[in-house]
Amino acid sequence: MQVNVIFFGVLSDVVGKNMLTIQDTVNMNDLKSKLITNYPDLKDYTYRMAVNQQMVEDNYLLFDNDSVAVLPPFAGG
Amino acid sequence: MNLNKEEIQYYHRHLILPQIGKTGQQALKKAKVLVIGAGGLGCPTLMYLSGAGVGRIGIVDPDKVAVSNLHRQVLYGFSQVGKFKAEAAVNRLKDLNPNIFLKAYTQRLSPENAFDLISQYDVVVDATDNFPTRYLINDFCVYLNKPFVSGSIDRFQGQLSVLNFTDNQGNKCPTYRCLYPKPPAPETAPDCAQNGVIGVLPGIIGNLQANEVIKMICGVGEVLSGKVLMFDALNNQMMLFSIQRNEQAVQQALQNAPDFESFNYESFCSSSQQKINEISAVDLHKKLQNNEKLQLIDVRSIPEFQVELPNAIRIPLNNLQTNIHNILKNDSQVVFYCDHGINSTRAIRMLPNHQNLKNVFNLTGGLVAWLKEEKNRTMSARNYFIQGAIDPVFIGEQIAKHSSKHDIGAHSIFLGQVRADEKVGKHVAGIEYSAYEDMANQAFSKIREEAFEQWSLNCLHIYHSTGLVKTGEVSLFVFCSSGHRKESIKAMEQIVECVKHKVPIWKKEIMEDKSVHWVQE
Repeated sequence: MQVNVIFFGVLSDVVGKNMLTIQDTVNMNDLKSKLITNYPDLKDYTYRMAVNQQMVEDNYLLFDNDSVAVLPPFAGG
Repeated sequence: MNLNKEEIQYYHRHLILPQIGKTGQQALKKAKVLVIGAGGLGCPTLMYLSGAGVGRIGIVDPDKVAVSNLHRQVLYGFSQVGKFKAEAAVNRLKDLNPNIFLKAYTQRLSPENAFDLISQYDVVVDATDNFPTRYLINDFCVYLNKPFVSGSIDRFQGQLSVLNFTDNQGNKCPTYRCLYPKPPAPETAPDCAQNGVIGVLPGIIGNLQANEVIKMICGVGEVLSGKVLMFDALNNQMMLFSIQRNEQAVQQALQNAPDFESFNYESFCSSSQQKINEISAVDLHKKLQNNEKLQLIDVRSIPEFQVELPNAIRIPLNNLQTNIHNILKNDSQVVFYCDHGINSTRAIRMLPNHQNLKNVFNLTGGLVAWLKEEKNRTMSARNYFIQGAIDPVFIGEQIAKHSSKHDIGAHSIFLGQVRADEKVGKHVAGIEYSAYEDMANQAFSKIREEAFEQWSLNCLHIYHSTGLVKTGEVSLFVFCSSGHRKESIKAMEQIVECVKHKVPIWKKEIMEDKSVHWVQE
């Protein structure tokens, strides 16, 4: 199974792209640690994660082809 | 809240919309909206809220218009550069819609004033550019039970949500802390001054903020509550994400109530990582004066301010990783700087982990702070004293000098003259003034600086005599100029009072028979 992860704002700089596909991940906790393993700088950032356009908590279960968005707060005005 | 003839004509296109009509327009007229931040987001929001006829609009912004604002802050032009944004905005919007009441607040929103400001309004618009103020607005809106429309931007993307809204079933909706319970570390969340922003983006998001305010007031459509909208200007993507209210996060907002004044939002939003040494512009200047061994590193890629500090090496942030090893070999002190002090903090964070940060400093507030400090230095070096009486010819020359300044509409001139008071049967023949001049000059400079902060002045000159001034001669000459008379007259009264009360100058009256009398004030 795989999920698509979209990054917004400064996080797309940290990851180096706007979108990634992550294989074999079961829940948000697992996805987060996979992301941090690949992109260690992510751990310093504040963000919320949404699955299929719904903000979720860390224990949320993931299914094949779920769309995950990673949203940092923006400062600018 | 009836509409008069002019208003019916002005709002005609609203009135013929069945969703707004007379009821909606009257609701708008009755509404009170506080817009916090009159920058990129605030400008379009304010224009459309004013045009829509929101009856009472408050504008909070402590900043002054800068040239780098103009590409997106559409309320201002070159003639407003240096003026308070809140006041310049009010002037422009009065012309756009004279039917509404506008109020400018030129102070920063703080825990001390937030209660008074927010409690006077029905709806708040968060159009600020920093996290401490975003959390401050959230907490006071939660405490005071006010909905607020939050907008924020980063380069090509924007976020929008209506927060702390109460729906028509009386349900409480999510707040900013429900969305982001924890503020980001400052160096991970750069603002527009560090990261850049496409000019149209705040135009789009700010208009959407105005739209949400209008919908909320008129009770039409679906308010963007319980959801956050993400907009990407590069691919025209608009995505909606639903959010839940988190009671624990809401309680975080209320935990300091009603004693908000003791809560430090700046430190709440500051970094928890390894402490970076900060150096103030004052201290950096001292070190440079003392010829201390210092390596200055300018990390700007495209400088906003055309200033070079002595012997600085320029290494833009993106090239830092490859070049940094050459710089940090010796053990001299290293000061990183940029325009605002944020990118230089990021630069220091990028240094290799084993790097000892003991000798590494960040110039606090960057070149903005440096330039301000430079201005203060020149001000305290200024001499306000004239030996003996002030010659009327000199006064005339000063007036003549201003004829080439065409934005001035009014000068106020105050002349203090030595009066022949009678004391125990003797007349005063003159006054001898003495002062500790360094201290007095600083006091004069402070008065000057405060006057420029408070009033919209073009020029302000103060001259005071030192030494003997005879009866009938002038010993104090204050000259201030402004675009309009009211400003210069009001400012003058206050400046003269400040000079009398705050500048340490001693007066000794010399009587006709040469006896002396010290004046106690």
